[in-house]
Amino acid sequence: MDFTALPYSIGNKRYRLCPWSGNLLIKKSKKEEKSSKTSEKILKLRLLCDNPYALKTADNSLSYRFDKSKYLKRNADLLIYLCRHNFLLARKYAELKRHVFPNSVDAIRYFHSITNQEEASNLCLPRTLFCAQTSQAFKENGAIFIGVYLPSRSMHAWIIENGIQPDRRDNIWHQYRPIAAIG
Amino acid sequence: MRYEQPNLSFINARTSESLADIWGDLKGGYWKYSNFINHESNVLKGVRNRADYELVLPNLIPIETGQKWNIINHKLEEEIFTPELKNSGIKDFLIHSKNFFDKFSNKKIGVQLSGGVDSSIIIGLLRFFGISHTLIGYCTQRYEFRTELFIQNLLACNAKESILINYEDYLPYSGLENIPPHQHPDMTCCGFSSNQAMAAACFDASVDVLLTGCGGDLALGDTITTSKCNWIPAIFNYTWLQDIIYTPKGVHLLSFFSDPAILECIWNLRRGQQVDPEKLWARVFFRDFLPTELVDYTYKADFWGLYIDGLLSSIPEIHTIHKQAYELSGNPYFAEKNLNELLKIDLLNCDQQLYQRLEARISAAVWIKSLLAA
Repeated sequence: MDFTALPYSIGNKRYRLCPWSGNLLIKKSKKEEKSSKTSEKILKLRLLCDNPYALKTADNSLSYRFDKSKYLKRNADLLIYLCRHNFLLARKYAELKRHVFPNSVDAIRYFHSITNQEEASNLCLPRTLFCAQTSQAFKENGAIFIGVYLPSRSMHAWIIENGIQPDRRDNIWHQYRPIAAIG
Repeated sequence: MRYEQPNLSFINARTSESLADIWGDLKGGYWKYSNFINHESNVLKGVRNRADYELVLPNLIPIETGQKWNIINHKLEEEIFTPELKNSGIKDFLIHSKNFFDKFSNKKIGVQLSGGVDSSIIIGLLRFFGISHTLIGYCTQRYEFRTELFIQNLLACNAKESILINYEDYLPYSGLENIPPHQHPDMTCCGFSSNQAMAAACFDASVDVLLTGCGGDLALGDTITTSKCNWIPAIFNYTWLQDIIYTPKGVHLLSFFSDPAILECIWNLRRGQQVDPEKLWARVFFRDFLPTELVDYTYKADFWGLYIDGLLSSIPEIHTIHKQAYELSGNPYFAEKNLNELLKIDLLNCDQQLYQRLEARISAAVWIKSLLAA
């Protein structure tokens, strides 16, 4: 999965995401920063982030019957652990594809079903990486976006896949300006 | 210049005497006995608990519109909304809405165009009844407001008259220096400049009544049990803003949802519903009056970014007013170290309590400064 920087500048401040640590980097600089090469897919999906009303509404019908497979749960737990300790490793681990779900809608539902909902807001990154790893549709039609809610340093990760934002419980993603994409 | 505040009166707690205003006491120096720690705790309690507020001025109980003094048990009471149980449908809602709009048949109606679902319902209804109206809203190019801006543009395009005020020119906490004297500290003053711009726009457009969607979060999103209702419609209307900013411009700022008949109808329609923060029920029920986007999607912009940017850019002004309040009153509450103590906390951390404490301090300093400088 490629990491695409989508740096954002306002005034003399440049906001970008460190691809290795996952930290928000804020630089004071008047120089224009070059954006990394952005694929067609990311450009298209980024446009949907910028125009949320252009997104399709998520279909609620379930296409996957959840099983209680222990390995899937262990997989999610490992991603949660890695995201807490090492952003790069978590990203790399998510590249080991396990296409269990047809799409991110089902993958996210499964993730929600096995994790503590009180912690859901802190699990946005492992949740999206889990989807990237387990959704069949992700590679062709999906990307993870990581955004910042300015002027705070609050960050959030979400997915756009198949023209939808697949997480029905995520009602904050549109507040965040994308500064990086993975996919 | 001093404004009348008809929506605010006082009760002398010792004598139960009703006072239409306390300008005389304030002029006599009664402000010196103010307890701003109580003001801070009142702000933290929130307006829904205003009947339990501690006194800021000893023995002087402020009574706002919608409150009354119970002379028997010496307690401040709220006029709580008590709906009558009845069957309601869209037809009833339309009748009540029409009756409400008819009250202003000889006046020019304006609607606060926020781009959200509450004000869009009002606009949809006015269009349905063919009632002429002007749209006036704050707009901003901030990323998080792109969904609101989309709806604002959509509705403004189809309106006969629409005015969009750039919010960035009137950020919260700006223009505090210009706040006129008032009788009691009120944290609503933090939105002084934007409301002043809104009132001026209404004045220029000859708008007499400006309808707002305030209270929509409660009416359309709160849990509705059949047993009890604790809504206070009076708090849907901001009395301080009305008296200090809108009345001098000849504008009546009025929440559509504060109308008792409309509120009762909504209450009956939603009876038994659980909390609905995304207003899913309203989006479906009012779908014929709303843009499709508001029916199919539930985006809602967060104002925190605007507030924090306003606060950050007004810090020098806040320091100045705080210093002036200290110099004029000598009250140790306004000692610089107390303000610095609050400001040294990371302001970019979205901690609501911190902002509320700051708002309490700012409104107290503004009050003292406005009184004494005048």
